[in-house]
Amino acid sequence: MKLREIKSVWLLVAFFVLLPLQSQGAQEEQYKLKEGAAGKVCLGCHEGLKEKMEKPFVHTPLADGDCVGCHNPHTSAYAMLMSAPADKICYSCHESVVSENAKSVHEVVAEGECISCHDPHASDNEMNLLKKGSELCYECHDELAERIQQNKYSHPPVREDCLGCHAAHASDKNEKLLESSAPELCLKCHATDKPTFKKLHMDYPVQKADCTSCHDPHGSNKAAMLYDNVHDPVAKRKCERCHVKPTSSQPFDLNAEGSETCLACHYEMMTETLNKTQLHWPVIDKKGCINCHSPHASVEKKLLKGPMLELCGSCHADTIARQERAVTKHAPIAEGKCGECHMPHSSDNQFILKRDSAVDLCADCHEWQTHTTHPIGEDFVDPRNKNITLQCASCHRTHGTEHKKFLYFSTTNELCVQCHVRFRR
Amino acid sequence: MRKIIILFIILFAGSILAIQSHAAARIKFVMSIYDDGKGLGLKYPEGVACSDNTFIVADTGNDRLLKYSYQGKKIEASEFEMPVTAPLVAQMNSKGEIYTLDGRDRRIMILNSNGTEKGFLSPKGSPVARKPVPRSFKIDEDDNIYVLDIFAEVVLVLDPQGNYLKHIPFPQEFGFLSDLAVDKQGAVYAVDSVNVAVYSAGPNDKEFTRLTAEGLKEYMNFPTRITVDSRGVVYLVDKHGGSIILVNRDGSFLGHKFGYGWRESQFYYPAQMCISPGGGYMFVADRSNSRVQMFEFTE
Repeated sequence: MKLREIKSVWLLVAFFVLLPLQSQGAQEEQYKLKEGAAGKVCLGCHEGLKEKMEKPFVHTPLADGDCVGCHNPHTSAYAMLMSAPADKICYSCHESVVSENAKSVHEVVAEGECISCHDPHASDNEMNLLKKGSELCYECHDELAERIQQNKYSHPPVREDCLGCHAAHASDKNEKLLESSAPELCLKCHATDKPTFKKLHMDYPVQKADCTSCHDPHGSNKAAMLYDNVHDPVAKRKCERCHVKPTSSQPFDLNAEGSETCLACHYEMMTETLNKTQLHWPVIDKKGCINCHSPHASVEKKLLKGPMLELCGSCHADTIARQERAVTKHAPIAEGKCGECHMPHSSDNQFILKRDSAVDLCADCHEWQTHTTHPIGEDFVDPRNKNITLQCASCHRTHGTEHKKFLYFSTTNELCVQCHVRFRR
Repeated sequence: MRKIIILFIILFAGSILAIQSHAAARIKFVMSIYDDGKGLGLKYPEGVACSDNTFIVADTGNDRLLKYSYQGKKIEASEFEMPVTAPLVAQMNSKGEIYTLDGRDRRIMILNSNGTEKGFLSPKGSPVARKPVPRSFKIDEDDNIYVLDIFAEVVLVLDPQGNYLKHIPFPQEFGFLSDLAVDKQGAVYAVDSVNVAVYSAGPNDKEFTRLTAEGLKEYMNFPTRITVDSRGVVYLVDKHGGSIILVNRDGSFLGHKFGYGWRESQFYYPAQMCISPGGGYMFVADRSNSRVQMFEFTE
């Protein structure tokens, strides 16, 4: 080896040895610390950290004694004397957690709550996770955890570790934080070429379809892990009730379009629906019933695609947001029971309400007569508009306002003088 | 020299303001129409169509269409009422024929100008729409009919006799299209209630493109109706917000008019609106207030 090359090698070695010392030196210089005392100074008071540092997985800055890499030793605008918002500190080193092309991001990651899952100092678990495996996920996803624990038929990967299927931070592949989408994800474990499999799926090439359309990936109380509520033709394996033959060139095509597919079985209900004057328009568009209902199986009753609040909110986001902002929450909305007031398909009433009289509708829950003698009903004309009558919505906005009891104004006085003008100040 | 520069700046600023105010003219309340002029009040009217001397009200709750004449701010009692089951949308063509969307059968009915029934719109020669399911429709200056078909997911364009002319497929990213409008040049605009967006397709375009930016959600709740005036300004009826949003032809937000309520110049779940062809007047079917409100444009 030439002398020049030897010198280059030694220079490189010296660089990598001196670099951490240099950073320590920089620390010492910045905060005027005693020589070599960058990490030890903190441990002088924070003795609890000594024990923590004995854990198997120690966060590198702590191991390097670089406490000021995250904390300001003197003063800070942030809790725990952090030198910046927590997520900014983490991302200063961990840049690649969320890619630019991410289709879904774990909420805690998006909110910069890294320490919801990771211990910033040291842990008994890999990646400095606070808990192992699914146990950590169940801390937040408690409802799902309960369902998983109680399911009669479980999905083994789910019990082992959620990260068997899900990405912890973000996913470029799909919107559900999955490492890949169904069926690709499912086919990693499940073979679909066996005769039994084909027979059970009526020879339809389901390996090209979305398995989670019928099967609950988290487990269920139904055999074969079908969702708890199964559409009758699916339960009876009568796929051809709705779909063309499996030997067709497009085997998943429907026998008819939109809601006409459903008409064959749900004739009476559909006829009654279409005979009303106020129609929920998605019922008759191209997708029809499957705008809201899962055609195969669902966790939700009546085969709804999701909890009603989320489902209705997928289109009526403004209405749900209004309730969220409201000071007083209207119980049926908070509980996700839009169907308490509205017919989901059609009615002959405004707003597709269940009753033609809003007063009667509210009276189903509210014994308003016991707390007010204010005249309301069809016999009392609204002084502001001769064509309408006084009813509950004359004073209360049912989906919420920024005022208590969903009143339109902040004080009852302001509200009352809308009609009782002579009392205005 | 300094004075000349200052004068120039003032003139320039003034012209900018003039252009902006021209684009968003002042809209002044004229009156509300509460009944048919013969004693029966309107009930949840969802549709209104207008010419420079006539307007049609789809009096939905009373299952009828009403035709009124007006001259400036003077309105005559309704000439006739025509029974139609829950009429939702109303339009008029150049001959005074009335088109309306029947709310129960979901078909477009055609009436002669005297209110007698002429028939139903039946598209001929359409390669895409087996049997259209119209959510709304509009008629342009040449009496061509534009049908918002939510089943075939196209805007179907027909000539006055119902013959197929062309179709424009819905944009791929749409949420739910509730209404459409056509301007003088033949450009088509569609309002997406779920995505709170407006899409447009030029007279020779084969597809829609998004006109408005994401930020329009800040200005309204749930737009369900759309109209465009002779200057290309787009008017959106915000049903849940009780207001009318004005959008420039380039998609930029221009203004926000009126608000939620029961008094005059306020709306309570408004529905269809129309602007008279001469640009002088605007009518809004103030549905849950059971009235139609009339406004005039002032410079």
